[in-house]
Amino acid sequence: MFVTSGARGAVVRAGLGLGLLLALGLAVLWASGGLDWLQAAVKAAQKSAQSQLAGALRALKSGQPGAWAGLVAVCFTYGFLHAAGPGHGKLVIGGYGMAERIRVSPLIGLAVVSSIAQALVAVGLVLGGVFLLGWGRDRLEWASDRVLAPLGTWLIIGLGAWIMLRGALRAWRAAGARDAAGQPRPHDHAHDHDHGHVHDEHCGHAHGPTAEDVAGLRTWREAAALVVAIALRPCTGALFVLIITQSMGIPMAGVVGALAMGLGTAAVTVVVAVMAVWAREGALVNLPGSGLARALPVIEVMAGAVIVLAAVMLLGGRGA
Amino acid sequence: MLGRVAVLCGLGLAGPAYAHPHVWIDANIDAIMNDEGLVAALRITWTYDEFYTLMILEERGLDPDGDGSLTADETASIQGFDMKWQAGYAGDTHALLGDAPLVISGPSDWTAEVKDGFVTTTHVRQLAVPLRPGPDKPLIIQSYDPEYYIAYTINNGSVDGEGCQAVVHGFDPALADAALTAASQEYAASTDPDLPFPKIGAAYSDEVRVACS
Repeated sequence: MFVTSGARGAVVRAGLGLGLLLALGLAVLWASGGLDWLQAAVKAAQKSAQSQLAGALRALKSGQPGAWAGLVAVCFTYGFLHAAGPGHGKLVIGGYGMAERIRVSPLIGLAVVSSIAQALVAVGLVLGGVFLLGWGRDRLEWASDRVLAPLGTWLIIGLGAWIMLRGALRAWRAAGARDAAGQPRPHDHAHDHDHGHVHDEHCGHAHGPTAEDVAGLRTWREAAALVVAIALRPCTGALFVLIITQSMGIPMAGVVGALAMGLGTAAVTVVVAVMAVWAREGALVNLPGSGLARALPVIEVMAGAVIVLAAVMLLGGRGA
Repeated sequence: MLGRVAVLCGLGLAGPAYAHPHVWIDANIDAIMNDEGLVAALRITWTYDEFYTLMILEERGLDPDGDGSLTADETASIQGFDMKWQAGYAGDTHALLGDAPLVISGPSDWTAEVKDGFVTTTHVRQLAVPLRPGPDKPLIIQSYDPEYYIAYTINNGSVDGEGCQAVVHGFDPALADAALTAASQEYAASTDPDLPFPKIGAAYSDEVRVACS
């Protein structure tokens, strides 16, 4: 039996299209109130995890066997449950995954690294604040909510704005390229003069954004900005665990607990990363060839705009 | 549904209703009558969750044996721990007569105790103008944190006056979502960059309704 390349292409298209349908289906279900039961269940589970966490910490304090494993399990669950709703990490990872043609494995890597980094920021804040500065909980929460979190939000706004700007520039360039292709003028791209774009003498080809083009623009700096933007908003639950364990004289338990929470959070952001890439490729692969070049910058601008708007809300949300 | 989509696409991703709480409080509200048969004050009881209780105890170095209850001296040391309110903090208790917000005093007569790993505190707040709510216009008392850092659940309400009743009503998710949508649209339509997102926590609050015949 042969699978022709055409048939394989159709299977790939259908498979990717399924991702888009799944994402759209979930969005519709949520918007129509079909997920209300889930929200209620998550809220109840969050409350229950809260008391289990207290139990795990008391068990650890009294030196019960298996207490460490219990703490790690409860903290992972706590992180997972607190991530199971809209939040800034999923916003940034999901928005970035929708906007850019990043492959799924690096995006998963970014999701995990940023969650771990977020836990480490909480560790650094509490241990540094307590041991170096002698801070109490009030000062720690102030530093987290009023200093670090707004900084992180501004970074997210900057990242969203950068994605928007780049999408807009690409759309402009693509339009310029199409104009040029319509009225062939050798060595005379419209945009050469329009916005002072410097081209070398070999610039005679059409200028739609290619995958290489996009990949080349993604630098480690952008990835670092993304990780830092997410990490600068420490999870309150991690702060609480670190403060309690530090008071109990078992700060290492807090560090381990915070990291377990980070992994629990990462479990959710990884799913968001996969869904974002799956849905994006599902949208793109089902477009005709020229549609792809036109759609990419539009998706980029829209995803950037959503990131900016939602981040502005974050800034206003906590009474800042 | 369209409203929700608008909220999601526009501004609602991080709206207060979708923030998530880190402290849980079970609340009781008791309306206290004066000699003239008017509701004069509210006694508010808050029971904090076990995790927050643990933090209150550990950061003060209390309950070293970890049995979840305190000695008399330890209990004395935590009196009023949650009553040092910052300026502008409304105390998460909100009273209305029908739709009209009422002025209530700051907290007084507070207590705190720890039992079985839960810290429970009480305090009293006076109505600026004592009143007798009629059957058509109940006295409504809500418990909510506008920033939703604390999630309140009202378990019980009471009133000690003759001919008066206190009934607890859970919030209606559909009405609450409608309020969020309306607030988001108002926010999105505004050109004032400094406008904070409307505080719509009230829509998500349980409430006690006190009415007298």
